[in-house]
Parts: sequence; structure tokens; C-alpha cells
Amino acid sequence: MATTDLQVLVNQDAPRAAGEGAYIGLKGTKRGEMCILDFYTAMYLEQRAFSVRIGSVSAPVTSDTAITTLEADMCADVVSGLTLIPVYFNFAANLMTGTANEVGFKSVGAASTAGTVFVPLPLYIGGAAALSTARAQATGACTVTDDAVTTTREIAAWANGIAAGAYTTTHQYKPRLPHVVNGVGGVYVQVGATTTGCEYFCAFEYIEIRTTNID
Amino acid sequence: MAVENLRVRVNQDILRAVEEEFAADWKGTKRGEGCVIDFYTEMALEQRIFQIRAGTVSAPIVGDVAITDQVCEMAVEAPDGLSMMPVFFNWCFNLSAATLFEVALKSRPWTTAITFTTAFTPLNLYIGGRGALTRGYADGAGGVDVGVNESLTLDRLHYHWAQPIAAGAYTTTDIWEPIAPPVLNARAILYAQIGADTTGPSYFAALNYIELPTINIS
Repeated sequence: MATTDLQVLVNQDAPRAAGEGAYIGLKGTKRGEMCILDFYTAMYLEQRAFSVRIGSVSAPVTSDTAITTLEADMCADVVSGLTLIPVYFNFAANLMTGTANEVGFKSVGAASTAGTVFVPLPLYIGGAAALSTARAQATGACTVTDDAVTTTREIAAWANGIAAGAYTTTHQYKPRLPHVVNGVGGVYVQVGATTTGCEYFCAFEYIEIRTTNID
Repeated sequence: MAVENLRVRVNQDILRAVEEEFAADWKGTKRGEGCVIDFYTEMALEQRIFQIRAGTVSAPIVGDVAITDQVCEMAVEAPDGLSMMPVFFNWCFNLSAATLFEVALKSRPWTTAITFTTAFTPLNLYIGGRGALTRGYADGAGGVDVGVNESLTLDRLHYHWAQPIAAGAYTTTDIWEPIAPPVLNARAILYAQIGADTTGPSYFAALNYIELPTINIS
């Protein structure tokens, strides 16, 4: 009896738990489709993803006013030998009465130097602790490297020149292609407006991986 | 019973770092799913994605007034032998009091050199990555001159946003992230235009693109 050249192992009912380094049949469905796992989901399942957040319901934090380029509300840093890949950013303002409102998510090849420490939350609950470090302190109280267009990367930005009105004050960033922050480096979030800072909730997620595994 | 002939190597705990040109076993999970990585993420990890940006917090750039079709705010030029694939464009206004706002992202085959411009060294999105071979430019108020007028039959329109009224009941931020990016081959120019009538909007913008030798794609 002839067989095809490519065969998978049907495995729908009892998922396997093979040991590290073992060679096992490629999983397939009972219909013969090949089962694959994308890079991002694998990283999350391997406990390599973390979250930094600020503001809890219903206790939003207040942003900076008149942001200077050295100030941020949140950040995460990696040392040499580690790489950080930001993969998600979510911002929501629930009070925005100032003008010239701005939100920026950026990356730079230097670590932050001040701000309240925030222990990164593993997105695999019960997972390994991060080797990266983070800070979260509203009103621009985290100190980061000066935002310069020639060195700092802009990951995502949101702005509106007027106070909250009939427009959306929530923004999400889910990249098709990620920034890759090869340590020493970090990402940071800036939120601000003129005269009165907005009240907001914010979180970002990132993958942490050893640089030697990608370069 | 036949035995499957596609196998993966379970590798979740200690990631490998196999050398260039060596054969590596296909990574799999302990459940047997084969692990894959998409093209865009791989390009980022290979240090092939670059960014042109304008405006820093809180110093936005002011856009053009009454855009003429020969000028723009940001541009990238690929020399012979290089290809560009624009994959992400994010802009936002933090002051937009005029009317007839326009934001556009376009490309064209090279015909004339970019002139009267401020060079911008493209930022590798892999921090610490190699320098770009493409050439970047950024200058507000339509300060980048792409050499010739926009042509409907030559220039590609990848993205356009417009709003006739001042900031109000609408969102003044947008992201363009195509499901399939255009491929700008053989000495091409990619450029972004931002403007309004009477007073240019104050904005921040970032344009990301993949840079690949053309020989690797055609």
C-alpha cells in the first residue's frame, strides 16, 4: 500500500508531554492537518513574556503635564546579554480635560535611571520571574534617556490636540513586526498633556529572551 | 500501522543558538506542535527593519501648508540593488486647528534625486543592529523635495487619510499596517506627506520598512 511522503502523528485526545530534547512525531489532526505554533504563542507558553502596568479600576493614575523628553510614566530595561521584544501596548484615558494630549511608546539603547520599581508580571501565571527590570510612576517620574529622533525608536504614538470629546481615548498597539531591544536598552511610555495631565490606565507586554538565542 | 516521518525536537526550556549554515532540528513543543516564525518577526530579528521618524515628545513637527505634490515630510530612497517593503506607518496630531488635513504614504520608481533635504539616518529597529543601506530624509513643512511631481500613472498610493475640519469629534491618530506590503524595487522612493490649509498640523510620525537586497527576492 502506498503512503504519502509526509506524515504527521494524529494526536488530538491525549496531548503529550515529551521531555526536553526528545524527538517526537509532528502533531496532526485526525484530518491530517499539520499542527504548528507561532513564535509569539511559544514565547508566552515558555514563560518568556511579561507585563508592566499602571492604574487599577477605578484608580487611574494622572499623567505628566508638559512632558520633557527625559520623563516617562513606565519603562522596562534589559542588561547586556538579554533582549526585550515589545509585543503589546494598551492605553485608556478616563479623564482628559487638557489639550495637546500625547502618548508615546518608545525604545532606546540605554536603561532608565529613576522611578518606582515595578516587578514585571509573568504572563504565564506562576511562571519564572523576569530578568529584566521595570519601573512605573505616574506624572513622568521615571527618568529615561533623552528622546532624540536620531537614536530613540518610536514604537507607537497617539495624540489629540483637544480635550476629550466625541473621539476614542483608547489605543492599542499589536505589531505585525516587533522592535528588538538588544540590551543594554529599554522601552518606555510617555503620557502627557498641557496644563492638566489625563487620568489613565496602561499596560505593555514584552518577550524577554537571551540575545545569544537570536543573534 | 505506518509511522509518521515528520518529527520535531522538543525544545522549550533551553533555547539553542545554532551557527549559520548548520542544520538544526525543527523545534517543537512537548505536545508535538511544530514551532514556526513569521516573515516579519524574522526580518526584525535579522536586523532588517528600519525606521524614519519625526517629532519628539513634546516637540512635534509642523506639517506642510497646502501640500504641493513634489514635497513631503519623510522619505526613503533605495539605491540600485536594494528593495524596500514599507510595513508600518503611525502618525498623530496633537494640534490640528486648520482645515483640509491630509496624510499620505506613497512610493515611486526613482527618476530624479531627492534634493534640498535634511538627511535622517534610518534607525535599526534592532537596537545595536547594523546601519541601513537605504537613505532617509525628514524635514517638516514639506521640507523634503522628491524631485518631480506626483504622477497618477507612476506613483503608488499606499495609504491616505483626510479630514476637512479642525480637531473635534474624530480620532487624530492612525496606524497603517498592511496585510501584504508593497515591494519597492530597483531604486525606489518611499515618501509621506502631511499637511493642511492655512496652518500645518503639529504631529509625530514613524515609518518602518524592511530593507533587503533585491537579489534575495527576485
